[in-house]
Amino acid sequence: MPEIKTPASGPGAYKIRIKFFPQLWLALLNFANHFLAFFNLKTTEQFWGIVYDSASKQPLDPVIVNLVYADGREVGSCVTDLGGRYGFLAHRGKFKILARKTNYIFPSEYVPGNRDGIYENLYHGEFFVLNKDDEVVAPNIPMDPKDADWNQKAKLRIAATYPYWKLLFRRLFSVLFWFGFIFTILLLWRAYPKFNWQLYAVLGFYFLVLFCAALLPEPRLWGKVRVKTHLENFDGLFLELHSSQFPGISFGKAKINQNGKFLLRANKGRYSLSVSLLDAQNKENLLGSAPVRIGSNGVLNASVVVKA
Amino acid sequence: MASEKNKILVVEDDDDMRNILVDRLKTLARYEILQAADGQQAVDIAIEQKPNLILLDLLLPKMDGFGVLEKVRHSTDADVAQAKVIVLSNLWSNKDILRAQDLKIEEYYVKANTNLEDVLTKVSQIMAGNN
Repeated sequence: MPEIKTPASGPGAYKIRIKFFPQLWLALLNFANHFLAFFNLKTTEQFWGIVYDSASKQPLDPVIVNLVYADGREVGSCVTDLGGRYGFLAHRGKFKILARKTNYIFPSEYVPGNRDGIYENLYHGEFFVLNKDDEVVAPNIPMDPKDADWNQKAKLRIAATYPYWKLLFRRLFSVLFWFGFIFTILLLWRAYPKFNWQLYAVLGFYFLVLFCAALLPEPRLWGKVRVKTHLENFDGLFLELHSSQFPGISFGKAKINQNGKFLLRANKGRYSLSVSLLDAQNKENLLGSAPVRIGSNGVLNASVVVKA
Repeated sequence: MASEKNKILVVEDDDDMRNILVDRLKTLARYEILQAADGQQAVDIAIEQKPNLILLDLLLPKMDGFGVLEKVRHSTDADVAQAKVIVLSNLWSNKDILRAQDLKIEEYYVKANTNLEDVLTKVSQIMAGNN
């Protein structure tokens, strides 16, 4: 356990800060990723792994998802949210994911391959090996409906998604994008040898978009904490999200691993991010808090600084 | 009489989720654990068995969790009406939380964001009368 020299000093003793420039870069990356996905130039725009109904493609909840070592020892466990979202941060090793929900079967036989037209990177219960530490484990998991599930029908009224419409729009805008690209080249060819700067500007924009699609990295799912205090390591440190209206309710909670990384899932909104420390008696000591905003991707992937 | 004071009713329609909750609550060993898979069954058991604490999901077949809460709170039997209630649901909107809080709940946990140990700790606190 890390030594706390001032355990009773309370929230004011530590300053919690979200680093601005990494946050700006992540926001730009996020925007670019959404833009490129809109034109089908990036295959994914979702951050978290989604557990979903293989027939209706709707996200499933609550699904109990376990990450286990090859020998059966549990590494982590979580429950999917209304959006079917889950994820793990794991060290190197050989693993397997287990998923359980009443009236559903895992692994899916209905969707056998690695993609089903809507979702990609599908998981079917096979073992997999991680060769690096701090890797994100979040494949999409299809589950086959066994019996009618009342809960899923009820949820269609409050949190339905429209994956087929989304796919249709993406394909439509993809066709428009490439049509515009070819049309611009044809216009330039027709205008030759006259120099038309507007057409060159449009073509330049197209090349910029294609350049971004080829080279921009995927936005990350994890965040990182940097501690500038006497705390010796990250043992016992965790993050939690609260809203100003319901300060007693946790809207997201994440442990910080030994390298300072964390996965924090929450719904879109403005929150207060608190950093706390569990002491030897399992008592939570609040170190400090800072305001944060979670976007539609439902992830806090910021760099958080804890300073005495 | 003492055994009647130590009942916890778990209301959850997902069998896997409910089994996990029941198994973990049984490790506390001091309480009789009752189970309901839908809202109507929950109300019937609450009236008949008068649990001290109800662990309540909100999206339920036959009658939703808000309906269960209203029936419990408006019961003419004081033991039923005064039962402590912890909501454990994946609904997270301000509207849902406010509606549940208006019906005098002890705690609201968003299922996907909650460590089961936190729920067990709260259950122990409430059952010990420390809340």
